[in-house]
Amino acid sequence: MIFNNRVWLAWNQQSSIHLLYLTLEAGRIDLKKYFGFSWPLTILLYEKDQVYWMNRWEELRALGFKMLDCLLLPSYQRFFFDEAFPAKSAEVEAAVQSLADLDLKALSNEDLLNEYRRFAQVYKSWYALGWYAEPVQFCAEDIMEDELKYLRDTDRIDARTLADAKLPLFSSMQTTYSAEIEDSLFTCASKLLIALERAKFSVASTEGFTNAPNGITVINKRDSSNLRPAEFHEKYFMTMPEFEDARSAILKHCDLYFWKLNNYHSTQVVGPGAVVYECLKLGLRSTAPELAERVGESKRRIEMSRPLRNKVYQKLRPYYRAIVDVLARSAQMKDARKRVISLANHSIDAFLGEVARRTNGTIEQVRCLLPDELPEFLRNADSLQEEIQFRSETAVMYWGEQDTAPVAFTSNAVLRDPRGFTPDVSPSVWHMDQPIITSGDTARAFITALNDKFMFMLDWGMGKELDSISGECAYSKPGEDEIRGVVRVVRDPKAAADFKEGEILVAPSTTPDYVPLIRRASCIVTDWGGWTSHAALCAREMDIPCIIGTYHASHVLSSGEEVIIRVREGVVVRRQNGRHQ
Amino acid sequence: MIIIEHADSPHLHLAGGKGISLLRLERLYTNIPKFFVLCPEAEEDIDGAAPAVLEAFDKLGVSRVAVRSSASVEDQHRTSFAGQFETRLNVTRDSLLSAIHFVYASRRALRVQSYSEAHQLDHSSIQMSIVVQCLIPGDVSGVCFSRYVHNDRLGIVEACWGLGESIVSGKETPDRYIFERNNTNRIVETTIGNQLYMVSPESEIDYEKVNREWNSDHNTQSLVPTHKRLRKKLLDKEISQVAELALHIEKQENYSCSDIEFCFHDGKLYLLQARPGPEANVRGELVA
Repeated sequence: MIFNNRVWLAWNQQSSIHLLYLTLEAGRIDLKKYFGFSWPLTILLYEKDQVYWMNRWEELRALGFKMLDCLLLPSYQRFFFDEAFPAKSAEVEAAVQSLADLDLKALSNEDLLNEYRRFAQVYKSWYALGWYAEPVQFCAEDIMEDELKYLRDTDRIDARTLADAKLPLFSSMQTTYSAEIEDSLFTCASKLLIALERAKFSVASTEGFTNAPNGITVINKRDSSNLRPAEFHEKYFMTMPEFEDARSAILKHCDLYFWKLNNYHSTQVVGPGAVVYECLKLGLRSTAPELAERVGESKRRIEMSRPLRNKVYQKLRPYYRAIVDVLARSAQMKDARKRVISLANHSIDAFLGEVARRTNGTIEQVRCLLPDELPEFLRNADSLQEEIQFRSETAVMYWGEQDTAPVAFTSNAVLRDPRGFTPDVSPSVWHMDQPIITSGDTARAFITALNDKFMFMLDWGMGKELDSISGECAYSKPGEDEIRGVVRVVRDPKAAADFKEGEILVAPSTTPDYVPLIRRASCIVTDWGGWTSHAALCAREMDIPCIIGTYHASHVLSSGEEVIIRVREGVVVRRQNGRHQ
Repeated sequence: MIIIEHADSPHLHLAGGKGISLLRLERLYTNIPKFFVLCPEAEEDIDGAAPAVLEAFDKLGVSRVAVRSSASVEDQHRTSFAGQFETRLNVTRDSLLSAIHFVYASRRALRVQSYSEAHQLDHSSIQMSIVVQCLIPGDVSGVCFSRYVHNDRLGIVEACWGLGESIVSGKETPDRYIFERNNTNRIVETTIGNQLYMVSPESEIDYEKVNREWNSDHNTQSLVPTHKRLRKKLLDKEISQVAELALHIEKQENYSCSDIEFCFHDGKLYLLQARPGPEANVRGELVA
């Protein structure tokens, strides 16, 4: 599917209906409380576990302009970043904590739902604050492009410096959570490697051996036996005194970042076993001193870019300087947001898991339901089974402040209302109080009707014949202008354990789940994302070249294809001249 | 004798089309909500009949009932009189007598006169009885025709959220399911209607207001929760359950096509009405 990318933003990720519905709800009512506007027309197309979240660029930017105006008022900025956001975040964390202390199994259905509603309310009211970040960034990036062009055209700053300063200028000058997690992991890994040496163990790759599903084996040098990582973890790592140091580091890592793999699709608690495995994997390619050296790397890189950033910052006119300040705060806030979302999603999943337990269903099924359907589901799970099945195949969610769904999907009562549009009566009819959802065949018909109305997408197959794709270079290593490599398209980062060192990572957009892959990639190419997107920030922190905003690389390119990337130009050239396999 | 509660009553012939078929069906099916029939003569002296009517109401043992017309000419093969007479829903003990009075009075409405004339019937000869039936707070209600006018092998079910009035009034597009007559598990076509309003069993209907304001029936209805608007109203297995019932009645009553009104409440199927369905003289339009 190729989107009319001048008009539509199509954010594509693995997501569940329930978790995204909550965020949409937050944009609908709660956002209005802070800024007076709600989130614009939104179309969500679910295909299995992938979602396309579509908004019109114009509307997002317009919303961003309005919000930016608010945020440029010093008093509002103070209220927003220093009071509202920290206070609301603390509320969510307190709710997460009090929920963790609660025995969900002991609650009656009614109490369970009440607890859920209370939690969802706190979460949504917090989430609304976070909603400002994307629209503001989209419009701020646009404004700043113009200013940078002005600086270049008036010869205040040379083009090369500007290109290099762009990313530091648009992002936070503090380290992000991803970088913090990375640092912590490197520390754990280097400690583990040292301990392995001391305890007479070594780690080896088993790639190519059929009986090694994990790809790693730990060798006990005393009796030359091979151990699976899980075995090693249980029998030796948790008990032997040699691992004391590494153990406490890894347990601390789990304690702080157990949520690191959560996203809008599912949640999991990262335990010591998984971290030991991650560390062993790192140990395959690097030695302990090498890993220890990488700790704090991203911080050093940020520090290195500071003079360059300051140089450009000084040349900006005051209005633009204020915008850069807002962007820096946004980047920080976005980072903090990620952590709270991950934590909150754990709690929501705990509720959904409990609903699943009571209805003898699976949590995947319950994740297909909307919050308003949970009472019905608990009362009579059978009545929603068919719907769940449809939705897990295809579903469309549609939200607009006014009910402007295609005519074929508009209620007869509205179409045939003999009174026509009368301001005193119609708003109740006209106003869409919640997103509507359709599933299965109806969803397919609905999306076709929407497409006829909005023209947001073209043929799936289109673009397969393209010779090259271009985006924008978000980060390049000095002196490395061309990269040759093999493409690997990844939609589900958790299922890409066999991602090879040096492959080119192509993804709709990246999330913290992608970090282990990014680390091994020779270059990142994303469909979507701006200067402040996760991919761009990660690239800078981890020193990996990055092309953003290609709009459809993940659909046009296919895994295994060889490409040449001209990094600075942001162009991906296909070597098979557009024809793959 | 003005109240008929059983099919073996000697006054059965006075119960009107709907009343007679309900009384007969009651012996065959257990899922019919309890009801009683009020004979035409009660119209003359409603006050005199009041104690007996209220006693019969109390025997039903519910707080809300539906009051429907059952005319001598209604529900015939050629004249359904569909929607010609008034119906009152959500009637309580307090409003029962006024509702009965109102339904009787609808016999004299202008539209009934013109409908009668169009079908060459003597309007003044219409005998009107009344059915007072327990109101089942249906989650989903609908209509089923055991034979689809366009295709002899198929039948059709239409369903909407809440009580069936939304379908009958034609203001909302119901879901439409087409099933195969000889294998009701096969649903050959499903069309989902976007239903904005529903008549909910709880909604207090202000009939005074309805009478006063033209087309103000929206006020008597509640909005369908948004997440339910485009949802399929019946499960496949429920559709075939309804279809089986309609086919059974068709066979039992020796109709060429049966037309039933049904509702589901808490997953249980209730039969609200059954009559001979429209024949080929109705061109493709389903007249409920």
